[in-house]
Amino acid sequence: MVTTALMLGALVVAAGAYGLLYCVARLYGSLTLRVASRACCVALGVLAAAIVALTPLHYGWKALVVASAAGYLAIPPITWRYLTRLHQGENDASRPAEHAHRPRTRLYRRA
Amino acid sequence: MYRAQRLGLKYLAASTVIFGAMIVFGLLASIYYVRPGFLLNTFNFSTAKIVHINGLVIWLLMGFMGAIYWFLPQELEREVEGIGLAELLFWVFCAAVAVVIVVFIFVQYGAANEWSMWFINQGRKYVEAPRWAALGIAAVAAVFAYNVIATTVVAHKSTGILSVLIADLVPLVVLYLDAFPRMTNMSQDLFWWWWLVHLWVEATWEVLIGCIMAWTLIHLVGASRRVVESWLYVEVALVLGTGILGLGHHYFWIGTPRYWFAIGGFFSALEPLPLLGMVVHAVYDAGERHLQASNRPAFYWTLAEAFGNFIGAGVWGFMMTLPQINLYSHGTQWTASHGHLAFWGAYGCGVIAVLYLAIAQARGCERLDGTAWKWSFALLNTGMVGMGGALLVAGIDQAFYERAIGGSTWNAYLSMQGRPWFNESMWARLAFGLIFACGFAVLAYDLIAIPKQRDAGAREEATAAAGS
Amino acid sequence: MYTQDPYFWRAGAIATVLFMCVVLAALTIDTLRQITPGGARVPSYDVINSAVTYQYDASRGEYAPKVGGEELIFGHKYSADEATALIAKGKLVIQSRACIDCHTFFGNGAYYAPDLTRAWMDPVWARYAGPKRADRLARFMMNPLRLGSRPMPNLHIQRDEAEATVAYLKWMSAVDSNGFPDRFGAPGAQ
Repeated sequence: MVTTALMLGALVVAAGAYGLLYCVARLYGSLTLRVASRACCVALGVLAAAIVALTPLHYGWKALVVASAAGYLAIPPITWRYLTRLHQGENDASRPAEHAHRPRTRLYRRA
Repeated sequence: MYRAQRLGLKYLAASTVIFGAMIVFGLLASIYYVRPGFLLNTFNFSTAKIVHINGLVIWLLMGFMGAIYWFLPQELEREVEGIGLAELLFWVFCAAVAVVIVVFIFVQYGAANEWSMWFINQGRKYVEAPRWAALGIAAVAAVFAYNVIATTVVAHKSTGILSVLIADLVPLVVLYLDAFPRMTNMSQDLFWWWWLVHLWVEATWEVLIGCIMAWTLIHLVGASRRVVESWLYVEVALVLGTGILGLGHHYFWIGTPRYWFAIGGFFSALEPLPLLGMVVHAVYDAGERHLQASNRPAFYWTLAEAFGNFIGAGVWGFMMTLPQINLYSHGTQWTASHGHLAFWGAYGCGVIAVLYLAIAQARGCERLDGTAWKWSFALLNTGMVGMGGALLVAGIDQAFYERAIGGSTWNAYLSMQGRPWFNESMWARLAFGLIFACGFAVLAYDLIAIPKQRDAGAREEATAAAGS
Repeated sequence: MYTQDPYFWRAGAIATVLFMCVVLAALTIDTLRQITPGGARVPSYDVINSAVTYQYDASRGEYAPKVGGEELIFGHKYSADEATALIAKGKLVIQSRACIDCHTFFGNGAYYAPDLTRAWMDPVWARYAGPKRADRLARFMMNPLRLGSRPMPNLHIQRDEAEATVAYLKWMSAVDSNGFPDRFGAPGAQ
């Protein structure tokens, strides 16, 4: 029980580390960080496999863990791509007309 | 400055005071674990805990309200509708909180009658406040919702963030109705109680802090409104898409049907996924700006919010959410570990970010940096991680020896509390709690000391450069 | 591209939330029906007139409460209405003294004192049967003994309040909590 719980927690930690390293690697174009993020992917996969192979969970829950791990692997690149396109779209000269009426936000107004 | 912004600053100040009180009573509560019989029959553990957890709810609620009163007039470029009533109710709210705390401390409990429910203690976790105070809180919340909605209507315009906020405020206020009833059937009581607690902290509050963080990013780093609003919609879809039925992870053991194992376990296991997305977004935003911002403490506390939420709610939650694990971790210090880290990461860090942003703007500081905020950042986060870690060790020890082996009997519980790892963890928790308290002291000093002049950060750098 | 349109995500958020709320509403209606006292999961309040034990159920693979023959408390056989009133009073005692801020009920509450879900059948009291057990529990609440290193404070619980609370604990111990806590009172589980 304790081992299973710790492996589940470690799986999410590996996912978080992967997400962080993936993003920082993309920001700085660092090969070292990219390798480190891949290592976290491997760790994530190993932990998911270990949970499937070694824990007494029912196969339905194991399938959920594997699906979650797949989700954790997919989220950083998908989110990164989405954010990049969103910001690129924002940098375009033309803007959709329906946004034109939105008030510009002022930082602060003195009394 | 708009009147609403002045009110927002008052709410933020009050929330900081209550945060401090919460820490004091939290430290007190932790002493009982290492000194059994401490203040027995004078000031029991339950009283300290009640003030601690009710303080938690109030300081965060006041922080949210302060943030929204601060941002709302800027969003709509007009004064908030009904601001006079809101200003009055602020003082009523503060007075009510003070009276409730005084009664908790000096009266503590009453006889088993409706008078106790109405005027002393309702005895339901997080909502122990007597019914008269619950009515007051409901009134304050209703007026707050009116302020937001009426201002939007009168302004004849809205924004994506405001629309999400308004849609969120309605269930947030309605859910508080569970603070009133007294149900005999404990299964039914806990069923509805979890509607309030879970659908606040794992649903409506998540959306609320999402709106506040969206505004914070716009004001702090000039983030594009289209970007933050798009992201807010994604966040709402994912967080509520998993969190609404993730409510079921509280329905494993309270007498409710067994289908909640599958439903609650499944959706609850998915809850960390959007939190990873928030981490990616936070790193993206930070990297895009090369970790630079004019208000560095607000920026770093915003980052801490994303990471803290992921670790406290995501990692710790995933560890213990499957029913097979939860059968043993349920009702142990493991839960307390998760609760502390999750509340801190998901909400505490966010409110502190707004504190720095609002106070700096109010005092005309266009740039903010320094040393003190770094100390408070380090001390608070170290203290919280340390407390969470200590409670985790104690909780795992408890889950194994008290629940799995001992069968959760009274003897199993009592002998467990004397185990070395448990005791050492309780001492460690107290020590890290003191570190956390030191961090709060530095935070309070730093917030008070934010210079009433421009370019505070540039002036400090110039001084440092001249001295080197 | 449509994924760059905020309104696409807004529509998705609204649809997702509405769908989940509808499912939650349906499950709530069914759950409330199943946890009404007198059903299979939550016994009627007059279960306090019967013996309640906690045994391993092989067909379910978990521990479950078992209601047996007549076992009165406080020398009285309570009618359904009397039992309902007594247990309602017990809940009022539990709330007035904020028991949930030291103890846990079905594992919910504070972790400073033992879980009370099966307190009625705890081995500490199990050596006293029926009326004697109820009386010992009531007297403990009125004047808590120091059991182990964690003393319970004296909350000035009166005799009638204590009896109501004991009745509440007995009723609560008969609720089917899907095997929580596991192995409670099992031989060798110490």
